[in-house]
Amino acid sequence: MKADALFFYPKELIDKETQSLALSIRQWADKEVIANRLKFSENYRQLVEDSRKKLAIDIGLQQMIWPEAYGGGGFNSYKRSISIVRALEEISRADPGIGFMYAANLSSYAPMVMEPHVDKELCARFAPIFCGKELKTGGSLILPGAGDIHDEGGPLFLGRTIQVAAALRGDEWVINGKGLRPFNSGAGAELFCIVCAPTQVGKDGKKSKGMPSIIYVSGDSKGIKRGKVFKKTGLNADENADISFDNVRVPKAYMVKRDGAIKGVHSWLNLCMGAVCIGSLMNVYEIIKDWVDVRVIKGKGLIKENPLDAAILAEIAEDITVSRLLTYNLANIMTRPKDYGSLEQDQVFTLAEMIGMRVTSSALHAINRTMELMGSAGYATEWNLEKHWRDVKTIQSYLCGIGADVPVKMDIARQFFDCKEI
Amino acid sequence: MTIDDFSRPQEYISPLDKHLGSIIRQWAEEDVMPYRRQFDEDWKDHKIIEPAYKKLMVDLGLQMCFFPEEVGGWGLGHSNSTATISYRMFEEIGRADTAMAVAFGVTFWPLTTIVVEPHVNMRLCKEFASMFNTDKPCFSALAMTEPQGGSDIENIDLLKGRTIQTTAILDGDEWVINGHKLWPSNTGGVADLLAVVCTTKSGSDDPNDFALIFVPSTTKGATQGGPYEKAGMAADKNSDVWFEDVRVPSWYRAAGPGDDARCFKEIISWGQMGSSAFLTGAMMNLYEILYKFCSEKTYNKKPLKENDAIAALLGRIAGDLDICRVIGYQAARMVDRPDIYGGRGSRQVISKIRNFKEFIADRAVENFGKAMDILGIYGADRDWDIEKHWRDIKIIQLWMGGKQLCQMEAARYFFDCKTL
Repeated sequence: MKADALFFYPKELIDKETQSLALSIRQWADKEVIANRLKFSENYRQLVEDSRKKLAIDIGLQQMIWPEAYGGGGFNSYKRSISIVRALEEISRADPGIGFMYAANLSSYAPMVMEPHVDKELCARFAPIFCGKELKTGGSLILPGAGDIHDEGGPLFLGRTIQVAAALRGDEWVINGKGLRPFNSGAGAELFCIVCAPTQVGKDGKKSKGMPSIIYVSGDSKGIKRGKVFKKTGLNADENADISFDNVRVPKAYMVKRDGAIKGVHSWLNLCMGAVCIGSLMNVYEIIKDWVDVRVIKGKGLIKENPLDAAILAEIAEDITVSRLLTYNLANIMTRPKDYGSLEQDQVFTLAEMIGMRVTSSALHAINRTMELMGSAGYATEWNLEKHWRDVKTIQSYLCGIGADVPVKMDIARQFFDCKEI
Repeated sequence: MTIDDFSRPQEYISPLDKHLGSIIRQWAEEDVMPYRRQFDEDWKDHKIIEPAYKKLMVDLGLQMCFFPEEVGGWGLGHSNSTATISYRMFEEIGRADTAMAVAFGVTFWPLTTIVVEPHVNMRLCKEFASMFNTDKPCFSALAMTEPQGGSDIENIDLLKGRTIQTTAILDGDEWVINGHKLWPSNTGGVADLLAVVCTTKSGSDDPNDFALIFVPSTTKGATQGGPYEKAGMAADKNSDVWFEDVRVPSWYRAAGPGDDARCFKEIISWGQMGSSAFLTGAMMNLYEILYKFCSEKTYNKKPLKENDAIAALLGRIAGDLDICRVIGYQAARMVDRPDIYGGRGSRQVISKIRNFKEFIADRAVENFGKAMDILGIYGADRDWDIEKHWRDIKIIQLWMGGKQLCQMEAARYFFDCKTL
């Protein structure tokens, strides 16, 4: 039985359009990526770009999330959460790094494109960049994270330091921030979605601080400095680099001040990264299944018939099954704001963080156990497992932001126990 | 507080510990750490890695350290703290790069069967010392794993060598070796000397038929393939090795019928002890990096280390290193003192040292993973020097039968299991 059928997900919630999209992505994955993996190790960047172009332009992933009115694919609704998960799964089965790019891109566009908060001015400005026939890197997220004892430090978003300041000068925001570490795509992003701390000077000359907000900055704005692409553990499809904003000016309308918008980004990010991990696990299952079906130990029996190894295989299957159900369950909850609240509100935001942490952790556990069964083949590039391990670990650390899972645990404790001082 | 303040049983420490430790630490800090971020891309050529090996093994002279004084060595193999001083050396190298520690350690791994008491084989010492006493780094490899069986060969208590496919047939005064090995450290063209695990009678589980035979890599019919690309450990090359009618003198067999099998069991203990040292060395470097990061970066306006919940993670990581180091040095002591703990190849010592290594590897894998998460968005960044260790130490957890064989050895010993 194929992995997709073995590991339950709520099929009844998948519409025909999504089924068709998933099938197209599956065909792309098998033909363009999985069949060429050995070549990928020789010339990864070029092959990723070639395969990504087919996915982005021919299948239409690049424009998928933008509203139809602006030339997009019309997936710009919380109602499409399940479709988005399904698509990201299929992409990430082939390459979690490519899935990660789409997941982070989507999360960066969400505050301006997602119903019921479609921002017409912002969509009109930025949709043409991503809804054409040219392959783009996409949107980069700059989220609150670590502060530094050597700096005064900006205000906090739930304990995480906001490192970007936005000051209103007339009809423009002037943006400043140094040595910022984007979540993704810092090297080539055409658009930055930034959590910032706004300030403005009133008529009385007094400076006032606004609530933490999201501001969009076009990647070609004057005053943006991009550092060198840095080397990282995994997700090599995505090239990241530190960013500085030196008096970057953007129109006043580029700020999304909506209460809950930042939490909404985190909800999407956790859902989408969960989906990326599930896609990775689907391929991990295929790899280990092929391995244990033929591998003999102790000079006689198949490895899968040894009780110890079978117990480990069971753990792997449990991790995949439960993670997949949790991810689809979160997607379903996000489609039903009337029943569960908006994804920009505390309850769904906290649930998304919880599930994001749990799924990345379970995914990494499953891959670690798979590596144990495959021994040296687990870490040899040739067997295609170790890349999943590096990619998923990178996602896990990125989702933590700073301080391991402690900030998320604090968010959860606040939600469930009304903690006031943590 | 420094890395030297983590616990180890002081009464076990070799008199050479301070001196050798400081020499290697200086080498690590000057010749490895400034360059290690470039090692991954150098996995095939070793152009950046090679000069550091030369400094360590030739300029500092460490490639002769275990050989007897009579053949130009330092005579560390005669000491009753051979393993303990090895542990310190491996730790110091592992702090900078565990793959370099592996390449260095594996060079002496099969040689323990001929240069370390009570197995000193002066004829072979003399034969191979000339190979090592040169102005170029010289490496050995232990060729044991085979395509069909993974770590079956290391599962010697259960399988007793009967799955070994590589054969050695005595033809006059020569062994004729045929077979195919996978994964030995220091292959891919690196090894100058190969120690080959083979059988003198296919399918036999008689310990007399288990053979460990040395083969200089230039011997006709011995071929090392190109290095494998791996998740980490770039400074250690691995490849296929083929033996096609390879002929070596009969006295190149390490110890002889029965004794080779006994020596091979001792090799398991040496290997697990060395693995433990590589791991605690890397964990010492982890502590250094975390100390800096968590003192400078803040969450909720406080340094990370001053947040109770994050401090709990840091406390566990430091505590684990403290515990693991004590356990690791205990493993070295057990290798050093068979008079106290039983033979290095005894079921008791093998199972306990395997157990120690499994525990240390688990703690290392968990702590490096947690540390990457503490660094968060910086955790996967190579410039913070944790993620490379994270990739490397996972490999240490997996080799030599990984967790499962360690668990089986422990179960056999502690519960008298008969069929595992």
